[in-house]
Amino acid sequence: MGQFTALILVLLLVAFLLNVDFIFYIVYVSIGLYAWNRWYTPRILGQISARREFTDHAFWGEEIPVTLRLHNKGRLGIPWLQLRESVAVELTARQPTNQVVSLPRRQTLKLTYIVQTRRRGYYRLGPLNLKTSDLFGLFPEQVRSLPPDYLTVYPRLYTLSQLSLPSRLPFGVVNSRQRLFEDPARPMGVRQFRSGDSLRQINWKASAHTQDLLVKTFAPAISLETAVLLNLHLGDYVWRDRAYTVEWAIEVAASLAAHLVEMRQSVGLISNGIDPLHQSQNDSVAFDEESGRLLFVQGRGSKPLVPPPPIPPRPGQRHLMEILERLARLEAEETTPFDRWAATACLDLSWGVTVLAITPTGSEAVCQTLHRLVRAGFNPILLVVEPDSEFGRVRQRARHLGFAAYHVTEKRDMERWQRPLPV
Amino acid sequence: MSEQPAKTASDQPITITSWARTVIQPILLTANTLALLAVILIFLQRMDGERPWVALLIPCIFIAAESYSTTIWLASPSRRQLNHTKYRAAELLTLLIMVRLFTWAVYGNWPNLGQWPDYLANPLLLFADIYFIGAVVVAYAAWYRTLAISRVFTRLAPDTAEQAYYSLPRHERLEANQPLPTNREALQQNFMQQFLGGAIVLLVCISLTSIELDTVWTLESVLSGGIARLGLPPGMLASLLIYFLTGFLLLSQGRLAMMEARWLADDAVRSPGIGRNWYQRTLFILLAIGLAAAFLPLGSTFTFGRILAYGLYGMMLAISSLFYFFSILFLSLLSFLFPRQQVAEPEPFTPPTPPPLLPQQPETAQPDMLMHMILTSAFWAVVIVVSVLAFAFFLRERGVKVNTAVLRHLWRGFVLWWRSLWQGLRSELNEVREAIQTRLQRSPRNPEVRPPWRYVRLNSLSPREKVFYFYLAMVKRAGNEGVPREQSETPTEFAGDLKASWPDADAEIDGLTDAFMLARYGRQPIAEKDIPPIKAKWQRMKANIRRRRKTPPPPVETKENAPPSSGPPSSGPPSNGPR
Repeated sequence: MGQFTALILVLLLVAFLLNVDFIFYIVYVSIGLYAWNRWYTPRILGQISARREFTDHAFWGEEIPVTLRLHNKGRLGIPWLQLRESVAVELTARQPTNQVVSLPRRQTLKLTYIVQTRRRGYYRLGPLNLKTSDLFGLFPEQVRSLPPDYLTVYPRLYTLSQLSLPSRLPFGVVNSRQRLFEDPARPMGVRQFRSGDSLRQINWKASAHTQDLLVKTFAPAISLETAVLLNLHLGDYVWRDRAYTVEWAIEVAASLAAHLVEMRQSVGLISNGIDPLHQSQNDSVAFDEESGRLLFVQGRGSKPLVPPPPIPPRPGQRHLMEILERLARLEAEETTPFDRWAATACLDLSWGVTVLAITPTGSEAVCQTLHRLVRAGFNPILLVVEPDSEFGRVRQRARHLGFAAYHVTEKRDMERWQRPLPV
Repeated sequence: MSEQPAKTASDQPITITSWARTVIQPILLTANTLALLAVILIFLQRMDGERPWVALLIPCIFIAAESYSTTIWLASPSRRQLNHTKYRAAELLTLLIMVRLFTWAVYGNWPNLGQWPDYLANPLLLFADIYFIGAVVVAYAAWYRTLAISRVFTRLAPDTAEQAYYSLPRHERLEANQPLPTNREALQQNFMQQFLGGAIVLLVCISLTSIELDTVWTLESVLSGGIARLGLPPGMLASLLIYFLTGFLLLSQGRLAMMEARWLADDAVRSPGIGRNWYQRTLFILLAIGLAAAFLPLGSTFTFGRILAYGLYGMMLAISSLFYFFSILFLSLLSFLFPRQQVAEPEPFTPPTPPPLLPQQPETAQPDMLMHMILTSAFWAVVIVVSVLAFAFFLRERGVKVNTAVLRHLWRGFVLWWRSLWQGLRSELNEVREAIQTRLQRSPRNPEVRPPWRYVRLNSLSPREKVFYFYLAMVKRAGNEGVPREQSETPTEFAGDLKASWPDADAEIDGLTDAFMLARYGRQPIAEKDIPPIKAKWQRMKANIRRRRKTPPPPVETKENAPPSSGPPSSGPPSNGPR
């Protein structure tokens, strides 16, 4: 630019010294060119409105179309505009998100790319960087950004049909084999009167009709108000494929929560993992360059790891979305070990709540912790997600301590809960 | 408001469209260079009206186009092994030869046959031509400027290596194969500098052309009458316009090439209409601004412009006055620090004594001429060989292959022609030689024919010749007396014959024969004092012969019966010289 100014000055000097009219004409053209670029170039990006359209929550495996709309509000076309959407390579599957286009006046450009959700997480889409300049290179390039948006990918969900989990809470909506929890609101039939039956159970109309005393029978039902206690203390995961096990534990938790909500039960979530978004608070968060996923970066002298607040058991799809969103962001970290954390984490739960404790191992300490929960009036159920060749002993120990234990290390282990309900 | 979807990656070309590089760019580059040169040539034409300077634009068009195409051609990866400097030198030499031919053709001073010996003897005469020297400078300027700008543009655009590397999917790229980054910003700055430099040269030429130079040679004339103005020729104005228009367009194109390279490195997919829009928009802006500028009042008509011009003049006057003042001050300071030496009273002039005349040296013109011929021949041989090699190298690398069969045929024809010419010359030479020999050949000796009598003055002869004389006189008289000397006889054999015939003159015969042999075959000098004894012997011999005539000798059998000889070699007078 400095050289172009020098050219104008030289031309001007010669023009005034020589008084040659034609050189004045060249001076006018040069000054006009300079002035035009000086005035117009900074205004190019100001006349563009840009927005990003997409669904910001997605289930695992979904393909989310993201559309960028750029509208040129100006009266002049833009000869070149480089738009670069910063999206992780793994998300876009190498679709081009870096394009150079020319945008005619009063026109809208639509750029669509597909985001493939292959892993749960909290992803950043963008920012969209717009770059343009004048056609002669006289002035520096103009840059503008559209702030990023975020996409939450829920954990993978497995459809469950029946859990057959024991409960201490009667009068729910879940069918049960425990006769203890017969629900008077769910009459099932009649039977012969036996000694000891309550007179209030007698079906007088049927007895009069049959000339025999018949009493009403009720379908047993329980209420499974459940809290998923997800152990994401990294030290407890000892298997070599630690990352897979952590993901599996989260998927199990998400599947159970989704199933229970579908059964119109109240579900809550308590975890000792880390939610990077919650942990960072107002600080800037980091995202992985390759995957675009939210990263938990613990620097030196940073604040202590604080698990996210528990989500109390509540029914409803909206609540489930909240749980899944939390599960989408959770990361395993070196936080409080399960045996020291579980008892205090369940303090806010009401009596009789079923506690689905998902942990990597069923060690003695874990069983003792769950036993304390039993004694506190909860209904803990142990779900072990790491392979354990001596899980029989764990199950036996659990039975002795008053709770049930399941070994769920892979998808095949979930099949028992995926069988169709008996008619 | 209409909505257009972005093009997919599949239908978008990666690199710049080729027509912009193969058509528009060379036209713009050539036009820009030629516009600059046209202004210079018009200026030269105005300065020197005798020579057709403007006609040099014709070879400059060719030179600029050739320089551009060679630059593009050399930038190809397949020519990396080629020595670019050598090839460029060959190209330049070829172009200069063409310029020499062109200047002869245009200026009409083709060398005739009579001038060639001068050119051969003095090669500098071939180049000592102002028009040719100017043409060489202009041709070199055209060649170099086109080369420099086209090299900048070649490097601004993404090269083949970059295209190949960045066309690969990102995961297939090897870091080791990554092309070295090119500082394209600096290249664009470089072009801008060249454009600016060219503009300054152009403006200087225009300034000088617009001024009547006769009015500015002296300060008095400037102060009294001012600077007279001349109108600018239309060609110069057109060149000025073309120079700036093409310069701005090239600036834009360079920017596009630079952005293309950056987009390629960024993996940006470009929409196909970018290049077209770029050119259209550039042209539109330039035309719009040019049109708007055409309606503006001219700067020279502004009052402000006039005030500014006066201000500039005043400023220049102030600067020059300051410069003058400080120069005076500086010189005064110098004169104060280094005062002038007191000059002594001049001595009366005495003419210097002339140096002694040197003895005249023998002229050595012959060796100098020889050396000069050797040098000029070597020069021409080198020039011809280098030119032929350069031309052949230049054409061969560009794929122009000479048909060797034709060359062989021509060579064979040349050899045959030369051979026939040589044979003809030889036969001519033989004939001439025979004719000369025939003319020079002596007529056969006729014993009847005697050579004419010649008087020999004995005292005028040298001592050696006197000895010859005495001996040959003896031989002659012996022949007259019937003892002729055979042609094959040596002096000693002949002496034996004489002694056999004249036994009483043995001593004289031996003395004269020995003296003759000594004088004829000896190297030692013969003094005058040695002559009297020999002369005495000869006189005695003469007396003996005279005496014999009075008393006839007895007949000699052998000599009388011997066949007549073809003639004694010494039958001639002694003046014929010794044998």
